[in-house]
Amino acid sequence: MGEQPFIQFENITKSFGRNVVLEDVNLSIPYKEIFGIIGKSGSGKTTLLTLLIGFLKPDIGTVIFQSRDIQRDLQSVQQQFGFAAQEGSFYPKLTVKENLWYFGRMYNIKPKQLKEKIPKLLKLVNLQDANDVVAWKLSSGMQKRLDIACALIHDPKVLILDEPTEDLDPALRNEILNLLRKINREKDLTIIITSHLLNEMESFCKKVAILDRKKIIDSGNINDLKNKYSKYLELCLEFEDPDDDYIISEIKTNRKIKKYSVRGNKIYIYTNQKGEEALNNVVSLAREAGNRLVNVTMGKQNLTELFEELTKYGEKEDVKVIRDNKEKH
Amino acid sequence: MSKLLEIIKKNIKLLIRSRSSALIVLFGPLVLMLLIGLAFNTSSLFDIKIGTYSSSYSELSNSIVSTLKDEQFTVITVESEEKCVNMIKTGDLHVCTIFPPDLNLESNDKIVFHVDQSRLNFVYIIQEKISDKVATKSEELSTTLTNRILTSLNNANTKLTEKKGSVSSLSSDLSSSKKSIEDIILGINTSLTSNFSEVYEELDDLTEDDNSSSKYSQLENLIEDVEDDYNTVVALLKSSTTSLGDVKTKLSSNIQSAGDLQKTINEINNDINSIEITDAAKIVSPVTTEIKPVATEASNISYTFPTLVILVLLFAGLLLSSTTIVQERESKAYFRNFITPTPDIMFIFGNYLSSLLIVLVQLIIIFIVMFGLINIKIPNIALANAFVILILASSVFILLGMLIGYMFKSGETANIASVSLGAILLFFSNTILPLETLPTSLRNIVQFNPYITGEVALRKILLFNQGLDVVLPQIYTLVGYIVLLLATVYLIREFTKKWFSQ
Repeated sequence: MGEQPFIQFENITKSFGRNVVLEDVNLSIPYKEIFGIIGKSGSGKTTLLTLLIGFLKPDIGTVIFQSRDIQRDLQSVQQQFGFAAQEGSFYPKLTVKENLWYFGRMYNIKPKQLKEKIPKLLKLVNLQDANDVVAWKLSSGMQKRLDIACALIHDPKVLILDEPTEDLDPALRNEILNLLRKINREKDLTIIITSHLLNEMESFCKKVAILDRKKIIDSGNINDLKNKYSKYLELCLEFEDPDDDYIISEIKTNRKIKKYSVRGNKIYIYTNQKGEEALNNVVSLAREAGNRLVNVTMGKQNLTELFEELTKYGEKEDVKVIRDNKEKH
Repeated sequence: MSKLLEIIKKNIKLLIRSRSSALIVLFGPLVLMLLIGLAFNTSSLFDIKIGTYSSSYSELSNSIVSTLKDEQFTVITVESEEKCVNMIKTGDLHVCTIFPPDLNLESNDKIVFHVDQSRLNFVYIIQEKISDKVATKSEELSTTLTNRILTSLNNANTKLTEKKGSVSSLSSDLSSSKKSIEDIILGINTSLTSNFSEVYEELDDLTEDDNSSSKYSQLENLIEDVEDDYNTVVALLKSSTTSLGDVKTKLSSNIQSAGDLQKTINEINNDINSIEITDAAKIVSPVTTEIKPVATEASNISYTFPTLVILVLLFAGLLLSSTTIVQERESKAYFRNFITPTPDIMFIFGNYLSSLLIVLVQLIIIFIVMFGLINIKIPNIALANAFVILILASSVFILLGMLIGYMFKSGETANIASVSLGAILLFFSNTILPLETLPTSLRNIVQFNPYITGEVALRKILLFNQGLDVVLPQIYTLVGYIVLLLATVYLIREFTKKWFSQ
């Protein structure tokens, strides 16, 4: 069942009034995968997810789950999906247990089953000590875990998370992502996640779909996508003196370096040279500048670069990008 | 069903845990009821300030002023008419009474009352109270005057009755005198028939026999003298007879007058005696009225109780349900409810039943308080019927509140909308102004106001102990509203999904 389309979007078009949000979207999501949907803010990621859970109806096209049109069999399909929105979706004035109990009942779970299920679920999301704590008193990480627990209360086959790590600090992000990995492992379910934190998605998902300008540009295994779309070799350089103007001016004038960016004290360069040749060039550059090269990593473009490349992401304040050296000269 | 219970349990927990909402929603109507109850617990007006002015107070005007002075009214004597009227404008006086100078019973001057017509309800009550007071005084005066007239009439009647015998005796004496005179005249007329020719014939015979002519002559002379005397007497008698005839005629006339007098006295007597009502109070107010309430209650609040209960239901229902819905919509969990395999109608019913449950608890508390405080006695059957109406009316107000909750995006706007709708429903009801004051066309529309419908039905049941069959039109109207509102709430909730998703 691994690569077989578990969920399929077929020619989906959705608009709100005159605003077309999704246009002719086609996407397949395999079973038991951690699948990422990446896109800019407002690109239609949340709309895509709400179409998937049947909350919205597509204007054109169908969403198929296990060979069933979800709109035709909505109630039974809803029983198979768990959804955690960007902002937690629970009652802040109910306790952790009361929230789980209430949503469990809404998902038709019998009280007896709930009594057994809730402690296990709380243990899974590490909230067993917060059983009787009113939800608004929980920390933001705990609230996120409660939200995920609410989404899992009915043992769904698919867990959908809309930007689950948004607004969380890096430590909490890792905590949530680890939890999701654990859930994926233990619960044997498919996870669909959206985010614009691409580094995180690269490490968390095996497969992604890139959503831009109302359409899915491409989807698939991240490495496959990198192989498909990466034109340049990426070198990450760490110099002893990161503010060396000579090095920057040399990079700018080097025709073989197609673009570069400075992120913190690291300089990323993208070149169409072979690996050894590129490395030699960099070493000689450091020597010429009299600046010691502390660290060099080399590889394909990361997902962020790939996404920028594919969607013409634009310049960030702390990133200087040379689109084409030839043009510059 | 169990899902419904879970939704209700959840809603009640949320409401109770939101302390400010719980306080407003649960205790607000009860406090309102208590305050209104205290305010309406008596029909009396208190501390009504009446200003009086007269350039010259008379005994009568002073007497009216002292009549006005009682526990309800404070009477203030003002220096001028202008000041008196101004004091109404500034709110220092409720009524200004202007007495004409030297008011007395003979004068045709009027007592003038100045009132503030802008105080719609109050002015009519004041007018009625003052008019009552003045009318009572006026009646007292009329009774006194009538009493005086009646006493005079009574005295006259008694005296006439007493003199009726004298007139009768006079009439009888006159008749008897007339008879005597008639007899005298007849006697005179019959006794004056003597004829001296026979005397002379006899004398001639005597002369032929006796021839003593000297004696004859003497005798003849004597006789002639007697005849002359006789003729003189006869003439005098005849003259007397004429006079007696005149007396008789006058007597006849007097007898006639005496008879007429007696007849008149009898007629006056009869007229006076024919007056059946001799009680002055009866004459002053020949038609007495008494207003009997069709339902006898101990205090004013008993009459207003149905209105007050519906009023509490109106605001409790509207505010409670709109608050619940807005809280739900603003809640983070709203979205999750949408994506559970639970039909939308279940949430609608859950919210409706939660609100209804809380309103019913409020009602039970209100009824307990009312039973305890003012000892209202309602038969069990009427109580059961009343609860049917109360549930229907509550349902209408709750569904209206739910509609508002779904239509307005924030709690503030929903609260304003709820209060505004409540005020409109309240304004177009009998509570503030009688519906009869509205134009017919508007009244035909306003009569379908659910507040009025509920109030009318509850009034019939609680005050007149009527059955549900009597209030069937109201029941049908309320049920119609419920069905219509349920459908509208469902549709609006579906629309909110779209808003939410966008």
